[in-house]
Amino acid sequence: MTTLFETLLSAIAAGAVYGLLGVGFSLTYKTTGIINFAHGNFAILGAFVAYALIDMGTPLVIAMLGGIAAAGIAAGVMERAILRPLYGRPLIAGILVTVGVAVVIESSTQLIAGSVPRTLPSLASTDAWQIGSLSFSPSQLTILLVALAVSVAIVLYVSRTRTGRAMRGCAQDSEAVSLLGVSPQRLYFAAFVLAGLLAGIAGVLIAPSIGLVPSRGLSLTVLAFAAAVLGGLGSLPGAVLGGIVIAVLQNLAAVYVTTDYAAAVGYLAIILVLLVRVRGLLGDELETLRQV
Amino acid sequence: MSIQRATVVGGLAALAGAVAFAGCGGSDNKTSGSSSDPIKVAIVQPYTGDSAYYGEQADQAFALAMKHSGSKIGSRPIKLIKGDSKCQPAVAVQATNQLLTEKPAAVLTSACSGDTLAIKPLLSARKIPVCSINFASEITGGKDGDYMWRAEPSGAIINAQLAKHIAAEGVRRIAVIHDTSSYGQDNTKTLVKALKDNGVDVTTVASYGFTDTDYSGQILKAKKANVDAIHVEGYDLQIGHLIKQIRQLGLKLPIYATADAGNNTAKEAGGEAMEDVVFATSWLPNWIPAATKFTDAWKKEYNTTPALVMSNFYDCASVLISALKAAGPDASSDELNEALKATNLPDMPSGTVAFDQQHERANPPVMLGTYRNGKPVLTKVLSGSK
Repeated sequence: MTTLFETLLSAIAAGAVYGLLGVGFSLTYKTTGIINFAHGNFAILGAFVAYALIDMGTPLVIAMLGGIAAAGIAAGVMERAILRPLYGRPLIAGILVTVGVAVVIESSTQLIAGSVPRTLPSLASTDAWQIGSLSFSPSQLTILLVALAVSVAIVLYVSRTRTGRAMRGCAQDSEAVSLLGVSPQRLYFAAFVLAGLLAGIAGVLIAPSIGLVPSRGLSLTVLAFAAAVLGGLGSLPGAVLGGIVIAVLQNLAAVYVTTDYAAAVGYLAIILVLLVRVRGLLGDELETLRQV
Repeated sequence: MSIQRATVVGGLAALAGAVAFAGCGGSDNKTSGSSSDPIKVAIVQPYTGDSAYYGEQADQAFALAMKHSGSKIGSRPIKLIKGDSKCQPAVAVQATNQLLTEKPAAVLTSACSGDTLAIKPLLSARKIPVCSINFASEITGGKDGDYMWRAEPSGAIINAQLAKHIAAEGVRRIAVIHDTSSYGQDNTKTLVKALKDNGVDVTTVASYGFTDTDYSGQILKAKKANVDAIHVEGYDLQIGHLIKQIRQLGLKLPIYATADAGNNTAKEAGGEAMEDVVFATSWLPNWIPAATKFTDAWKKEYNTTPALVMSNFYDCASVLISALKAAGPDASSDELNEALKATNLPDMPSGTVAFDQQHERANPPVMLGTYRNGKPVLTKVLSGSK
């Protein structure tokens, strides 16, 4: 039973970060209709900037905030300078451009930072806490709480504020949104900046566990995509749930079945869920039908 | 021009062409040339991508070796030609084919075992002697192994010694966690066999992907098996994070690891969790006076502390230079190969470098290291000569 609790606790902590990545991914999709393949690269970029700031003597928390801001700025620049001229053209153009941006970010980071892997310090101690026979660390708890808190805050923002509700409507009908006196282009920009900030937060949370390697952006984008799709593309609470479900399934498979195919279990679950429920776990039924 | 004259001229031109092309390809006289022509040595390494630091380190090691051993063979300078393998076998093959058009005399092959295994047949077909630092089992031997020389002990040799030590420490049940790279799987196979041969029960073997973001599943699987110790295998960054997470999940049992645990990257990633982790390696910065001398020279030249792989590259570079000198500036590839066979280089950072009948490192150095107060220290020499 202890092993089961520890398995679930560790998975939820990891899954909360996957969910955070998925929330940002879903947010840009929900607002603009664009699938941002550079999302994971913004997370890595944020972590690298945080590392650079620490290297210059900046205290850890401020450096992390700096990294998060850098990710948001980079995402905003991408929207303003590269994606905006493509609005009005087929969506595929915008999606493909994000692939190019991902490659540019990865290559630039490697050129500047080199290929030797770096390590970002954790926000909290990684020493184990013992509660009976259960082990958990302050670092895991911090990651879990921060990721969940930020995710919940964004979900509430999008569902309860005027701007947030306008973002939700934007991808469906941008004309209707502009008739309400809200500029769709400002919303697109806000969505990308917000998603970039979320990616930056995820990056500085996950980097202490995986290291700083420029090419890790793609694997984080895949995680974000998987969490978002499982949860229902466009559903922010769904993305959080999707991330946690993927991590839990992978961990349970690793501990109780085999580690060899544990990573695939999460993705198999996505296929099975979508076969039965095309809108994902919490996706919007009408929206899904509209897209189909 | 009359038809007869044209025929004669055409025939002479064809003959000249045949003579000119006769020297192309198929010849094994790779070092032949005029006294000022450079002797080309190819370096096939990842120069871009995640493993690009290997390429940089190989270049640095060869430059340092040339500084110490000379950069000329007779009057002919050594010229390094480079191919980017990206640590991907298919790309390594492409890069090597490109390099082969320049007819190198010898090759310092990639730090990535998969690359070396992929290009081994190509180089063997051209009879080009190769120096390798790879751990994988099939690097030497086999039908393409006549020109392949491994300057460092293989993973199988290191694991055999480590397994004996683990058994002697009283470990009866062990979990092995490894990555899914071809190197990782091969290394694990030899380790598990060696552990079983020494009476250690390998209760759990768990794998992780190179890009995995969390290892708790693998670690908890090992914890559930109630083992006496854990062995972790992988590249330095992954090993460091894995070990950190092992301690984070409350496991206080002994941890053994592969040589990459001795690298600074692993130390930075693992932090305090690396204290008392025992890793099996073929080199430590200060294990013998020659290693200290190499460490100091490297620090002075490049302002960083060298790791195992830099020492390995330096050994290979020195071996190639020494063999080229012994064979002479106009040696054939077979003569160069014979010179490699006869290599006996004392005072190298890893001890005396020589080869046995199987083209493996003779009297291979294997030692155990650990971290004390954040620094890698030698705990025991299991084999090898100074």
